[in-house]
Amino acid sequence: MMDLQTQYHEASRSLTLTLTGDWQQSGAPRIHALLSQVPTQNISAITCDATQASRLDISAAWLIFKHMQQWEQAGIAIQFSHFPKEYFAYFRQLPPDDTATQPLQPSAIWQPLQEKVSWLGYLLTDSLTQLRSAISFFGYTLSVTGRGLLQPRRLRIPSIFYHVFTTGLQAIPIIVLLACLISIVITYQGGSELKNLGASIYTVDLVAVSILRELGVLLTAIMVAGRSSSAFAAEIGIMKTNQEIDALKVAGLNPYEILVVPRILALLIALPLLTLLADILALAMAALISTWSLDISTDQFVTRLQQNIEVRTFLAGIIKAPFFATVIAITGTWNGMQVDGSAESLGKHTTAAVVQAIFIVLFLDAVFSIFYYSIGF
Amino acid sequence: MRTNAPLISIKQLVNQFGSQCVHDHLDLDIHNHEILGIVGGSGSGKSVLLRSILGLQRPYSGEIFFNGENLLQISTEHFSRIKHHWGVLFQRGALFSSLSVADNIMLPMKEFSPLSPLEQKELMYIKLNMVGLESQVAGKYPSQLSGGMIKRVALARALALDPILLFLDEPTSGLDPISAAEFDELIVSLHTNLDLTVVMVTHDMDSLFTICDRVAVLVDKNMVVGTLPEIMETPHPWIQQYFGGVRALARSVPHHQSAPATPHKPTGQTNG
Repeated sequence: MMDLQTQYHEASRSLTLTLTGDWQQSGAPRIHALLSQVPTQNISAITCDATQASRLDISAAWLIFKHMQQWEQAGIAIQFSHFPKEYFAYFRQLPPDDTATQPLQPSAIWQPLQEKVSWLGYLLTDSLTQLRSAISFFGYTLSVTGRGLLQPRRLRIPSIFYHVFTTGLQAIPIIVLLACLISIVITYQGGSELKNLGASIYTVDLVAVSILRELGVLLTAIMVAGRSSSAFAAEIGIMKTNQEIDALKVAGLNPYEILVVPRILALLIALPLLTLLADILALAMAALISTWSLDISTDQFVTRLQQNIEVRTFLAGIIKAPFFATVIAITGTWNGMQVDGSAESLGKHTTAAVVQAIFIVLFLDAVFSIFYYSIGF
Repeated sequence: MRTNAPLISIKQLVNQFGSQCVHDHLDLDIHNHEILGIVGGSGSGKSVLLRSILGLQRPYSGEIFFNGENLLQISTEHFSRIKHHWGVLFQRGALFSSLSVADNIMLPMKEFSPLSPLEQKELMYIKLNMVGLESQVAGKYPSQLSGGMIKRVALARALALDPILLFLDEPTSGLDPISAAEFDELIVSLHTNLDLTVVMVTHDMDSLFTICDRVAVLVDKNMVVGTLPEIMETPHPWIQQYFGGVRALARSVPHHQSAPATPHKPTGQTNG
């Protein structure tokens, strides 16, 4: 327990404060209480003696030091006795308290406005820089990929298949589930409406066109963007933080060739296959539901499908898959490369990878829709 | 406050992963106000020992006492209160990368001390002074710091609550010899001024020879403890090889005032 013994010397009008017990940081309130009780009227000198303190840590010493300084400013001579000398060396050269000394700005309106405008400008230039970086990343990656395709020796085949496994094979359960669920939604919703009109056979056309042209590929791409884009960003981001990217560069290896290209090629293989799987399963599910609930036999369903749905309906969907794959892989790997070493930046870029991938996938899909319409596909 | 009872006493500690035994009934006493160096080959379980003491890993069996309290039996809350009096410097600093240097150092104070925000800030600058860093460093983020600076900031954070016990995991690894020597001096100065007990895992011969009061060597899943001369007398082959190596000899030779040792002079000659 810390305590303070005050001794008054009549002749010199001085005080001796003797510290006893443990003076430590956790007792800060008590330190303040003890020192503010010291009577300083008509005192010309104060000596603080730490001889008898069993422990005096630096925080406690600092609090005492500050009180002593206040007394010194009030014109009292101060002296420290048996304080560790090194403490005082640490106490000097503290930077001035910037919060107190900041002068009040006279332009209370212009200052924030100016700040907002400059912030807007900063935001614009920053996003333009980002865009430029992403475009140059895209271009460079394409050139490396092209070089790899021309010289297959440069391609990392095992790596490609590893990523086909993680992004494709391991995604099969969730894609199966997704395809079945979306098929259930469309078949029941559309089927019940068409049944009321007495045209339940058109359910086949509805399901086939919406799944094959649009939903099969789009939902698969969104799911893969959520799974793989974030994984790519996190993997490459951690490698960047661990200086593994630097290690590759120093070893004379191209990190893009080793890390980025295999992921892009893997998704180019995996996403169309996943889309195909989603299409097949969704149609199969629709056939099942039609038999159960809409009185359309499987034979009728298949015949209708063969007569009314052309191959190009399927093509219109599957053609988009490689584009979506490229977008997902590029946003993931690019965001991974932007990570700068802090945990926060890793989280930010992993999130950004998913958001950007999904956004660009939807944007591209819209562009495709307009394009198909204008060429009559 | 100095008593003869050990500050930390490890009794019959057993750590094993699967069938692989790392510590086999290990005993170790850490005394008040000493600097204890822990040495051992790679994979000998130095880090596991440190993690066991710090409560980051539950040992297979055994007891660890701090001031007479068995750390493995007390409640989690009580253990964390005890740990407020401990400072830990991790091997790679383990600074929080999303916080600035100032916030890293102030975090323990904000959470656990009764100090006012202004006092916390002042003490943060004092801690930066203590570890020999400029106050401008306070606004930087860990990713902007060099390896040596990260170690110093991490030490400042370890000192934030004015601990009585400081654990250092390879404090001088990755530092150049001059910075390492400075770091050793810093630890000695903190040790004398703040009445600290220091436990350091180290491979740095300079640290072992210049600042450690006692050395604990992890060999054969157990501890050989003693002062450095005592350890060097031990006939165990690993210890002999470790301390008998050329690099260690070069350091045990007192400096000749007349002839400073030339770099390519064989050490054997200097010694004889």
